[in-house]
Amino acid sequence: MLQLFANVLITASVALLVAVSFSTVYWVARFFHFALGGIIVAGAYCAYAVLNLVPSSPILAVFGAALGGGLLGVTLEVLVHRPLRLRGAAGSGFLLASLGAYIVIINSVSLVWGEQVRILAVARLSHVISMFGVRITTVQACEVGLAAATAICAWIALAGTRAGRAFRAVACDAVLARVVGIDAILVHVVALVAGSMLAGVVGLLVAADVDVRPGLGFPLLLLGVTAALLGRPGRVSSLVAGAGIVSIGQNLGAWFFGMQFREAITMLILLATLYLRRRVISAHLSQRVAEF
Amino acid sequence: MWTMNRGKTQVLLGGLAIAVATVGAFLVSGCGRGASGLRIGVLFPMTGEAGSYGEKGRDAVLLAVDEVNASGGVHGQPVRAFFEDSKADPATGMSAARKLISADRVNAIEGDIVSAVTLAVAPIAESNHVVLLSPTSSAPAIADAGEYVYRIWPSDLEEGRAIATYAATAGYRRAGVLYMNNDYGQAIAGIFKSRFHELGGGVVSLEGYQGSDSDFRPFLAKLRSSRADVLYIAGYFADTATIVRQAREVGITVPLLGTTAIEDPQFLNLAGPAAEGIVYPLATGFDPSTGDPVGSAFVKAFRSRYRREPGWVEAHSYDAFKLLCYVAERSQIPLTGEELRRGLDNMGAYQGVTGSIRFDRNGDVVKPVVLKVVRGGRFARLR
Repeated sequence: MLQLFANVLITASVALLVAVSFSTVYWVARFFHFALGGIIVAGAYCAYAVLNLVPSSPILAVFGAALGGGLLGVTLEVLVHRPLRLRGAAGSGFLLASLGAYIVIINSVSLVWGEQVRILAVARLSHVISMFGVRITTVQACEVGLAAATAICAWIALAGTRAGRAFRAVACDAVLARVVGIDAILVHVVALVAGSMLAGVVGLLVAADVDVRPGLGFPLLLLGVTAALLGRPGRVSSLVAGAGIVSIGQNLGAWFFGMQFREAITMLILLATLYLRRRVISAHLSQRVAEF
Repeated sequence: MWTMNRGKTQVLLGGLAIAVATVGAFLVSGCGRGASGLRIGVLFPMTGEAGSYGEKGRDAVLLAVDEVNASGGVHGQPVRAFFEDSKADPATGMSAARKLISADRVNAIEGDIVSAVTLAVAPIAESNHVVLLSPTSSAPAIADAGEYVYRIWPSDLEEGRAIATYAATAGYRRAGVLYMNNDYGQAIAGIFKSRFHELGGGVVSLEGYQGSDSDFRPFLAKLRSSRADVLYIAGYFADTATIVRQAREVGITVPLLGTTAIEDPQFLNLAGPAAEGIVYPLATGFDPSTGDPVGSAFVKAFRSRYRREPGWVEAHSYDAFKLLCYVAERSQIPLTGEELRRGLDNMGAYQGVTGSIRFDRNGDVVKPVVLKVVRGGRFARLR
């Protein structure tokens, strides 16, 4: 039972990290950033490439993953999102473009590295920590630690800093935010870069825990999006709760019904969320995609 | 009036252009099945969950093409391979097979690596009288898939029974089974369960997983509480490697059993030390450790070209292609499906890199099953 609790905590940590990455774009730019799944994969492969050059250097791998994720996020903003925004595209246009970007990223990764499953060199450095009958690896401990740190930093930043207040203002109403002198473009870019860098690092951590494959991103995205939609825009505590609910659902569902139903359970939670919170979600999305 | 006439003229010209292009395309591509030069369609999963297997198979087929053409081709003409991606999806495989048959006019199809696609494509091959030779499909149902369907990988029946018999005779009584939720995993897990039960054992935990799954800890946590004394993993090498690593991480120390599919150098790389001691049946005949000359020559050529060791996917893909060329060379021109089918039925024993290949009346091969183990980071025979 304790091991089950540990598994729930680990899954919830990954879900929270992806939810935070997703939400930084979703809250500010008001569209479903599907390409985040591709950014997660790109981060994992950037780390893989760095480790091929400099084996046994986890710090460099983290930098590589974060840099790769951030650069890809900026590239998508310049090539995809900004042109759509300038044309006054509706949210559905952004959704489709983001989905297309995800497909392009995954296929590009497959073209460059192939479909073969690979293992990160740092995975071999990971060892098992055993306490009170619970066993987790050092990589999993890093996932939990990073998720906790991210949640605390995000909460402090949103609640107690100027930057956080500016972020909340733009998330609430970008046009009004500009009227009161907030640089909405800067907020948007910083949020995008931060979210993309975090997504890259998530890719590295999950790849170090499991393996590297082109299909790594979508299950994580599903997990994170469900957790994010369960929460309320602008509230980190609700993201934490959402991540917990999704993780409990997945792990208990796998325990009682079988592993093959895990993604189906996540999808059911997502559908239920979209239905039960449809007013909140549609109110958030129906405001025009921010004009910058 | 002039505008209406101009519109009609444009429509007529457009229709004529389309008709000419269509006829032209058929004429160009139609220089195929009836004409000289063996054309083999290669239907492999190049992308998706099984994409890594398709890539390995493609590498081996390309080597085979070059070798055949370097020694004069078939009937003096170069052989051509037409690759299509099935994505390991039956519907996609069927579309691809139709394209290979009608547009590329292939004489035979090598494929698929995945049983589900082979079973889906079999009726198309049958109705078009095109030989379908699978390098690695193992589902028992393929034995009855048609007169034009062959395979050089033994049925799951052989492998599943062999590993279950080993588990029972080794003294295990409570097996946990984790299987990939596709035709292959379901079939082989079912055969294991049935045979293990016949011999007095019982399956205490039985669960399936999707090919895209990478976190098996929920099942492994349950397995710990089921007090199983052995764990049988009915999957491919990549997922088995992940399961094996995670099993050791969560503290599962029971012996592990795997499938023939794990005998691939990538398995050892992915699983690392966690793979030590896993026992599996080798039902296919490709065993580089025996040093047989045909197999060794293939391994040397493959290593020289691709700078890596070939596994069972590569060996079978290579053999299947070479076998089709061998049979075509001994068949009469034109190389119709009927001619190739007759050739495969009457060819006797073909010595390939995967051992001696002889088809029974169902187009199946029978090969002896040997048990192997991972010992010292290498594949070795179990003594």
